Amino acid sequence: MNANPETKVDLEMQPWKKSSVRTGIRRAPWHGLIGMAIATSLAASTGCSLSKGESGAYFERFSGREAVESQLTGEALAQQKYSMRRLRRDLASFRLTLEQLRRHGKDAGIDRFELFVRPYLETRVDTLVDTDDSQFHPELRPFRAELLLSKGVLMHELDDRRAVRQTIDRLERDFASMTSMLVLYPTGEAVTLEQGIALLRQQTGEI
Amino acid sequence: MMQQLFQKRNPNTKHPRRRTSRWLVLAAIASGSTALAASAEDARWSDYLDHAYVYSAADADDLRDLIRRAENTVGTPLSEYHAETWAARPSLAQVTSELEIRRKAIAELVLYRTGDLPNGLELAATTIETLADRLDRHENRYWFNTIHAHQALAAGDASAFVDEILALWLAVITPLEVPFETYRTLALTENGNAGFVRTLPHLYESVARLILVHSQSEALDGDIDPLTAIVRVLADERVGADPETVPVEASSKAFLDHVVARLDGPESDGGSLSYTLALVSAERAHQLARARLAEDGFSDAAIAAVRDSVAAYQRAMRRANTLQGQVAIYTRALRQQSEVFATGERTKSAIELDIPFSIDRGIELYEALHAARAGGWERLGYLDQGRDAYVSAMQGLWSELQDATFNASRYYMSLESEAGKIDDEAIVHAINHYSRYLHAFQRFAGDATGESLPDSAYFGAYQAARGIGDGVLFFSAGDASPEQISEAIRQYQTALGYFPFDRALWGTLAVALQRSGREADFLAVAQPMASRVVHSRHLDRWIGNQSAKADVLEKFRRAFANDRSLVYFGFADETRIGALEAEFARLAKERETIARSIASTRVERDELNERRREAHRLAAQVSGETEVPAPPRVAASGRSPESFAIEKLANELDRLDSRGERLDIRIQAIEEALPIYKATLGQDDLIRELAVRRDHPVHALLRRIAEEVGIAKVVPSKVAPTESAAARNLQDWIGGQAR
Repeated sequence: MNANPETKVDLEMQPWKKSSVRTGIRRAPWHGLIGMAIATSLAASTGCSLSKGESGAYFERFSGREAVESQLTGEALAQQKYSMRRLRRDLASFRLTLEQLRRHGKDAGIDRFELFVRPYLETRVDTLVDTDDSQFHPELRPFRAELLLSKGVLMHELDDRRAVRQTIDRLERDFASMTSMLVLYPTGEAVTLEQGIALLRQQTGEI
Repeated sequence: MMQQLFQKRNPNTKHPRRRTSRWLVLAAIASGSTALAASAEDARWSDYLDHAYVYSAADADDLRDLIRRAENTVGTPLSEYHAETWAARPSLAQVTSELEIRRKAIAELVLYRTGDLPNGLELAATTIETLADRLDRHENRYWFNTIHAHQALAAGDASAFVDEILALWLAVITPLEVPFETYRTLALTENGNAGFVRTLPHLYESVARLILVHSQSEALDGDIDPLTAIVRVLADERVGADPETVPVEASSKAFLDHVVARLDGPESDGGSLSYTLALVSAERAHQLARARLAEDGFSDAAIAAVRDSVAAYQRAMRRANTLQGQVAIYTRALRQQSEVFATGERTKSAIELDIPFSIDRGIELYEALHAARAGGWERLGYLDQGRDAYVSAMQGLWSELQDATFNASRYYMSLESEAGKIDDEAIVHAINHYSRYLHAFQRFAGDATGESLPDSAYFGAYQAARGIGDGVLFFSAGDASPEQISEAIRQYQTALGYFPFDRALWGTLAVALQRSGREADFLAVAQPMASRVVHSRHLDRWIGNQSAKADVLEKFRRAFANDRSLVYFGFADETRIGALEAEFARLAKERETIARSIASTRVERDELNERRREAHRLAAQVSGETEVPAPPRVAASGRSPESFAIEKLANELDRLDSRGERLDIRIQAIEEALPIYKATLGQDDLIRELAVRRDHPVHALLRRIAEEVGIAKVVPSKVAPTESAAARNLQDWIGGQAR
């Protein structure tokens, strides 16, 4: 299948033994290091950044990055959709964990997890939803709304009523003209955004 | 050629085609082709250390194996390399390069994990701490958190472990994910200068192993539930999602998926990761113990494996927060108890193992589940999985209670004294196990919804009642008191009430009745039980629908409908069916003989009658009696010899007729009942099948029949000896052939 014999062998060179994860599957032999051959050849460049060129260059610099991304809009869009979808699922996993910790009455666990969730939301969710709407591809808007809905539910799980209210306000303000847009509520139901906001209000008691 | 060289270096390699060999060969080629300024030796170990994110989370044995092979390739042990490169320098200040500090920390971590540097973990932590001001670099941060996570594991500090993993995810994984996706879209993860970003699939794998594997191999006995979110996220298109980097079959994906499925499954503990990992680990230990018991009996290794498994279940029990979780553990622990008792019975060895999971406690758990069936079962832990999971857990626990009970009882009944007799104390243990089961069964059976107990519990009730009866009869070397025999009879009746298709048990019941001088009561005792079968609507439908074993059940129903064949159930010796048939033939022959005698006697009598009439006619002619009307006779003349002979023949005919009639009854009874009884012979497979298959469809029928009658009616009241018509018939039918 793969014409490159080195690459083919590389795929077999894994240190993870199947048996070592104790799935009940028979013990497989040691697989070797992953991509060690390739990795070794790349070793010299590991951790290096792209060359920035000479500082005293004659030519005025024009970054080609934006141009490349604009040419790859389709792929970039697909990637962003993929990332946002996965982020939404991650938030669902966080919500479920918080809910289960709460059911077990594990307050220490909730506190510990909160220390993780809040900065996570700041770095992953807030940076996305704070981006100027004009920079958003229209197809990404439902995902953005869904992330806010997920954040609202998470904040409710963290008992942060102020953050819940802020999130609802944000949804109503940013998407005032798009309330009929179809979105996935964090519980997995497909609803209009208006219904989603109503559900969020109902769930969080912010009626 | 390199491969040949490698094989020469490793003459003890059992699998020359192992992929590891190929890896080492390629690694050697690759490192040889790398033009590095430093010496070849340094370059090799530095390469290995720079790429330690690939292998550092491997199991200790695998890691040790890898490092040994790498040492063969490099030509210098890692510990030696570490000592020569860094240990000679008195302080880290002399290790100026950030890269070198990181390599040193990694080397110390690896050497600690391989066992080559016992204090390696502390050294690694100290070394990596010097990069505390350089944690902005993801690679530094990764090793910083990884080393501290290992420290937390070594210290058994679950909270610190959780903190390190969450910090690693937040500070290393999260920032790398978006650029990784971008680079991957542009195919830069394989071909470009993507730096540490491209290691992300390995980091996923390593984090998964730290949480799932190392936490258990280090016996971390604390709460790591906040990491449930990370485990779920890892399972979501992360671990195993990049097969070109980490092939799925070589990754921990299968195990990860298994754990996530268990988190959400019916045997979860409200989604607790700590519990799930502990239980999965205990199951693994259990599997090992099971294999050892099966192969070696109670060898030292098997006993040690069972103890490990029990300890693991205890650890899981400490992590269980809900009844749901406790029930899942008990269900397995009771299974293990069954296996231990079965091994004791099989090997005829005394069990010298203390298993702190009791059947009594199992029944208490069952009772708690049962009490919530009308409401509140969700709060026991089954909120997410629903009522089906609750019912399934309740029935599953009962099944294990049943198996553990019967295996324990059979084990006790298999214990023999030095004289080869069953020890009375062991019999008492067996009876107590059976009694406890039967008592519990009668408490919980009869639920209108039919969901409290598994269908097989009804067959279990039969087994328990029969076991008690047998135990009582075996007590005191078989010299049971009248009260004990009465109890055995009552238990056999109970057993037959739940499962009337055990032909041999009817015979045992008859023997018990005989021992108490009540054989004449057999029909009085048997008829009500047989009648329930004959008139069962469920059985009728079952047979009508040609459901499982309908042919066998129909044979029994026909037999139960016939009192005479029912008597055969009690008193016929199935090993002597030939004798019964010979007796039937003898009776038939005797009847023929009698018929012939009757016929010949009648002929003789008729001839004598004829002769007498002729003699009278002639006498009348000679005396002229026929011409003058005879005067009234005052006295009868003397009787002729013919008259006496005729009277004698008449008596003989009467006797023959009576004997013939009686024979007719016996012949008719045997002719009718024997084939019906014979049809039920050779159907004992049903009992074996029901005993080994909990899901046998006939279990459902047994439940329905019992419910149709009502559990209370299945259990007999004490029957007073009565002299009934049936009893009289019994003596007639069996013709003195009772055993």
